Amino acid sequence: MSKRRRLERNIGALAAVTALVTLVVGLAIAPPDRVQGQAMRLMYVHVPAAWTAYLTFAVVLVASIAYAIRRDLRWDRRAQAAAELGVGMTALTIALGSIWGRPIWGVWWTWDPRLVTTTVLLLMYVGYLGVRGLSADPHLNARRAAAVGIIGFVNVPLVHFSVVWWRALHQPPTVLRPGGPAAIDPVMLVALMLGLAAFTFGSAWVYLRRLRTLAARQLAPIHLVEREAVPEVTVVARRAS
Amino acid sequence: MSGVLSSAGRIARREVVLEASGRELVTVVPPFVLAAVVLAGLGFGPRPEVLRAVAPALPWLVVLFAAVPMARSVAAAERDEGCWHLLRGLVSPGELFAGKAGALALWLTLTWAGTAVLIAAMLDAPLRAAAVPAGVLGGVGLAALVTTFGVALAGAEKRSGLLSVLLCPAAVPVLLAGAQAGTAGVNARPWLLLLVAYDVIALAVAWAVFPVLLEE
Amino acid sequence: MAPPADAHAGIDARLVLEGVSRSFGRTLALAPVSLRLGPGAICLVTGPNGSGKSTLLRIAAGVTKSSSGKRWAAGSALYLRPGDGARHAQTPRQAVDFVARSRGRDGVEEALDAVGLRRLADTPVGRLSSGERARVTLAIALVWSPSVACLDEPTAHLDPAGASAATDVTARLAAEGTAVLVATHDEGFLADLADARIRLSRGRLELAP
Repeated sequence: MSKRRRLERNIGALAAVTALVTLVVGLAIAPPDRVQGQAMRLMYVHVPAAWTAYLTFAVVLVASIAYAIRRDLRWDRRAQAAAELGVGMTALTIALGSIWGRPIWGVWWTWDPRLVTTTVLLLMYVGYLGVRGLSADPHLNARRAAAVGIIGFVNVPLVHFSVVWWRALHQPPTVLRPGGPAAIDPVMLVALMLGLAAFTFGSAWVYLRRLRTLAARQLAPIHLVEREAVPEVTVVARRAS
Repeated sequence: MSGVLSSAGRIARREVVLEASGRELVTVVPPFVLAAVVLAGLGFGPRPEVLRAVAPALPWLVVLFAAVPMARSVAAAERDEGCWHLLRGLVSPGELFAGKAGALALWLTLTWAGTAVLIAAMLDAPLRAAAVPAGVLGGVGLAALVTTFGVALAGAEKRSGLLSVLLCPAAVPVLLAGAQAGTAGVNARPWLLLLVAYDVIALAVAWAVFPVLLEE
Repeated sequence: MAPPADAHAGIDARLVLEGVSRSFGRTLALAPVSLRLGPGAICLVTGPNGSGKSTLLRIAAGVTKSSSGKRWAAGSALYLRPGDGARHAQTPRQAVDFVARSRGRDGVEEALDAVGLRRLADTPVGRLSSGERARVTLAIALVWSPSVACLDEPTAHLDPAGASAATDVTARLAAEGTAVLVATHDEGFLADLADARIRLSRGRLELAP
C-alpha cells in the first residue's frame, strides 16, 4: 500500500474513533444545557461543521494562490476538492442551525445577519464551483476558479465577526471572539473539542479520497509524440533596410 | 506611477466616450432603476414608515443588480467587437484594471446617486449625509469586483447567470455597510471605515488576480 | 522559399518561437514548431481552415499561451483580424488616436490616409462596411508599429484597392523593422514581398517551396 493510501486509511480510522467518542461524550456524558436543554447537543456537530467549512475555504484560498503562482493543476484539484467539501459543510451548518433554532428561537429561519451571511458564503462557493466547466481548457477553468476563490475568501472573516458587529440573535461565538472564550461547562467543552477533531479528521479523509478521484479523472495530457524533429524556420528580410 | 495613472485615465476616458456615443448603459440602467424603485414602492408600501425603513438599503440592492449588465462593458463587449486583444497588448494588466475599474466606479456611483435621489423623492425617505461617502466608497469596492468577475466570465456564454451568483454574495459587505451608513440613528463611522477596509482589500486582491485572468 | 541554413547565428531576431505547440483539451491545434523572424521579415502562413494558422499567430503575438515550448519577442507584439481594434461606437479617428496616444506616437491622419479612410474618419465604426472596418484595423497596425505584427487574413472583406492598401501597410511595417507574420488564403497577397511562406496542415508545419 502506498504512503498516501496508508495516510488516508489512518486518518479514516482516527475519524471513526473520534466520531464514536464524540457520540458517546456528546450524547451520554455531557450534561444538557440549563437553558437550551437537549437541543444544545446539536452544537457538537453544528459548530464543527462550521469550523470545517471555514477551514476548507482557507484551503481554497491557499490552493488558489498556489495555482495562480505555479500554474500546477494539482493545486487546482486541491482547491476544487476543498470547495466541494466546504459547500457541503456550509449547507450542513445551516441545516443543523435551523434544526437547533426551531425549539430555541421558535422559528426554522430568522433573518439574523450571521445566518444570512453564512448562506451568502454558501452561494459564493456554489458560484465558485459553477465557474468550473465553463471551458474545455482545464487551465482556463483553474484561473477563473482561482480568482473567484481568492476573492470569495474575503467574506470569511466577515461571517465570523458579523455576530459581534451587528449584535445579532445568533449566539456569540463561544471559543473565538474578542475578549476571550465565554464560560462553558468543561465536559461540554471536551465534547465540542472532540467534535471538532472528528470533523477535521473525517473531512481530511473525504478530502484525500476526493483528490484521488479528481487526479484519476484528469485526462492525461496529449502525448506529443514524436521521434520527429521539430521543424525550424528562420526568416530574414531580403530587402535592404 | 504617473505613467500608470495616465494610461488608466486614458482607458477610463475611452469608456466615457464609448458610453457617450454608444449609450449602452444609459438606455438600460435608468429605466431599470425607475422600475425597481416603483416596484419597491408598490411591493413594500403603501405605509410610509415601512418605505422609510427599507429606503437606506434599496439603492444598494438596485446597484447590485444593475452592476450585472455593466459587467459586460469590462471585457465581453470588447471581446465581441474584437478589441480585447488590442487592449491587453496595449497596456499593462494594472493599467487596464485601473482604467476599467475607474470607469465602472463612476457608473456605479452615478447609479447609486440617481437611485437614492429617486427614493428620497418617491418614497419620501430623505438622504442621510453619511450615505453620500458610503455611496462613493461602495461604488469603488463594487467596481473592483465587477471588473474582476467581468473579465473572469467574459466569453462564457453558457451559465450567463453566474455573474449574479458570484457578484451579489461577494458584495454583501457593501450592501450591509452602505445600508447601515444610510440609516438614521446608526453611527455611520464604523460602517464607513468598514467600507474603506473593504475597498482596500477588494482593490488589492483584484489587482493581484487580474493578470492571471488576462491569460489565454 | 526555403529558409537559409544555419541562419541562427548573428540573427537579430524580433520573434523567436522554440518548439511551441498548443492543445485544447485532447485536441492538438498546433504541433511543435520553431520559428525565428528577423527585423523586417515577412512570413506568410497558409493552409486550409482549421490548420492552426490563427493559433500560431496568436501564440506568436503572445495572445495565447503555448502548451509547450518558449516564446520571445523583442518588443510589443500585435495580433489583429480584419475589423479588430475599434469599438462600434468609436469613429476610426478615435480608435486610431487611442492607440497612437497609448503608444506615444502620432501619425493618426497619415495612417487614415494610407488606408483611404480620411472621408469616413468621423463615422462610427458600427456604420462602416466590413471592408471599411478592415481598413481601420490596418490603420491601427500602422500607428501601433509593433515589433511583431501578426495579421490574420488581412485581406478578407477587402476590395482590390483595399488589398493594395493592405500590401502597402505591410510593406511600411516591414520597412520600419516590424517582423510580420501573415495568415492568408490569398495566394497573390504579398507574393513579391514575402520572405518566406510556410504551410500548416492539420496543425503541422510544412515548408512551402
